[in-house]
Amino acid sequence: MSADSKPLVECRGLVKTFRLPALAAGPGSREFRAVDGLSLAVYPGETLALVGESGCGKSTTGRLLLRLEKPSAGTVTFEGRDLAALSAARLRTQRSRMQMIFQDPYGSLNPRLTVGAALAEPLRIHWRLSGKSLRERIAGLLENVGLRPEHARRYPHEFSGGQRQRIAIARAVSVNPGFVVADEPVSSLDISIQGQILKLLIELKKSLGMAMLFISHDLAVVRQISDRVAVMYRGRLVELAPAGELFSRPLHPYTRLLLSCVLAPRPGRKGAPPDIRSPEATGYRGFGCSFAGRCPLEIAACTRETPELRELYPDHYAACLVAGGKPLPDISR
Amino acid sequence: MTGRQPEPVSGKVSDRTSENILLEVTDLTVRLSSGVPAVDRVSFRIRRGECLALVGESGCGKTLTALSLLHSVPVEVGESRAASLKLAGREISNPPGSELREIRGGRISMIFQDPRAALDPLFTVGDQMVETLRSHLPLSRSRAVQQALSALEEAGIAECRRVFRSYPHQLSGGQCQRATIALALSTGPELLIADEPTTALDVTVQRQILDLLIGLGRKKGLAVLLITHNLSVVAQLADRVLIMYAGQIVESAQLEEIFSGALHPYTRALLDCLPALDQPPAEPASIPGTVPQPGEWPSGCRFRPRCAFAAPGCEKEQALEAFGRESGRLARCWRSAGIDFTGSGGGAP
Repeated sequence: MSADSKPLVECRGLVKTFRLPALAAGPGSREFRAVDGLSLAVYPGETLALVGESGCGKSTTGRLLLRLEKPSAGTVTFEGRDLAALSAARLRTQRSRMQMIFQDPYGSLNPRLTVGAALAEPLRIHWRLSGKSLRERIAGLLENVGLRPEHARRYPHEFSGGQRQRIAIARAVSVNPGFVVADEPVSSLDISIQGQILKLLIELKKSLGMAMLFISHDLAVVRQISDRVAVMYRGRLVELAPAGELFSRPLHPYTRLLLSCVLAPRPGRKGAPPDIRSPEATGYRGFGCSFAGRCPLEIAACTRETPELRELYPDHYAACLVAGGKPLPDISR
Repeated sequence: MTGRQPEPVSGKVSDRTSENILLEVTDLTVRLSSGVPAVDRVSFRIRRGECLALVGESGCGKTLTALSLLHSVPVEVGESRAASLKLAGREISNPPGSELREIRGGRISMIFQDPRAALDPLFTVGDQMVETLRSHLPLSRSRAVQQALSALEEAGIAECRRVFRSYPHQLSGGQCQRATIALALSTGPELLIADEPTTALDVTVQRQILDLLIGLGRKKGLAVLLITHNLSVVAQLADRVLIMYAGQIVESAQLEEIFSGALHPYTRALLDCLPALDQPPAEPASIPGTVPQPGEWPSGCRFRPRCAFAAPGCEKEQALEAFGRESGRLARCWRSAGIDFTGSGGGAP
């Protein structure tokens, strides 16, 4: 990422709170902060991976960046324009520049629409195509994602999961968006198919020059596709770095924990995982480091001070009071 | 599950002593209600105390195979039939209702991918455990409560009393899976069927649950049938591996053999699809084509349309043949012995 290029999408101080139903909330707060003061920039043409465990707020962040959700606080700008300031009509125009690919290719396609009709919709709305030019564009899109033009007449149920994800991708890229949020796009696919879809995303990203926010829990997959990686924990960014840097020199103890838990695809039993206390065992009080209580490197200050992202190496940021100060003990065993 | 034992697990001695065989399945077939076969003459054996992994992708028939062992394939889904199904030497392919109740959840227990779906949302974890225990064992209520609490503790739940009183929605996914494992093991089964036990869990929790299964399996001498698509999980847990493709077993081998020298091109290609963090980053690998669902199986070798090594001869029906001198080393590929896998991955070029 060249330092002088301007961000395509940027969020500052993004917060999203959800009200919990009384029963689920228990004795504590009735509000749940899914995203807690997040600032992040996506640059043109890059793939930024957003990783974390379930409930860390990564999907909510993706939806906030596309303004599929309204933030409780903070701003999202696209090409320098504040999305909250746009009128409904302007926002709709803007949407052709920002698209989403969902995890479940069975849920994201309307079962009653043929593939052609599903692909035609964004093209009619945003590009006002019709007739021959529309049909040609649809045929071209299907070929671009490895399907055949005659597939336009079929219904989603006639396709396999991988093929459906190809269709969903064709629809997302149909209007040449500058920015795509892909939320776990290969997680529900068979192992033998995942690589096909990842390759397709890499090719399309190159040929169309799109930027992509690749949301995933699978670090091995993330390493294959991303330029930069952002690690989220409990609604906050804990580490942000170029992919090679993050995987070779992870700084935040949470990132190191995640990496140490990834199983190698070969025999040889891993030793006991590093001291992981379950997240539910440590209630976060709203200040201090959210990883304190689970962290093997915790010092007294961690429960008082909220760590901010600091640039510890060039382009390598971590939100940790301890990391970077001295060599970290090996916790991955 | 007990790890590599000093005497070879694959050795002829242990293989031939029938008391060592816990479950023996011969020619198990499942037909879907549409008449289409989904599992095609599957045969295998599980020894006492071992973890056997049944590996395959969606629609290969691995879950239906597992459900058939409990006679639990839903009638609206299909019907299973086996030439023979023996549990500890006793034929159970057509057991009377009373014996089936004793087997299901008693001698053979099962845990599932989604632990929340496996628990009843309207009852506390404790109620469900006590009910299960008392339906299988002659226990007073208070004895059953005690046994349930100790089962929860054994499953690594520190606050077992709180979890005992909790409804499933009040627990995290990891806690729910621990509770279902406690529930499954509380009746002292000889075989645990674990269907994608960690797939729905976060990586940090996955490690804990795997360690729990390894530990409990060893401690109780439990046999485990692990159903999964995830070869990394297999590498952690299994002693022996069966690879399934399109309703058939295509390879059977010891764990190390699968990873160091798989014989079937599908096994090879599947291994090549796994990205590894401790290897230099590589381009995503895949297998061309789509995963065939029941009813779409090609004739002859079913992997042929996706196989990088397909040749004339592959259009013939393939038999599961023994390789080498070791027993239990099987592959369903007539070319297996002659293919040089080096260089090409066996998957997408």
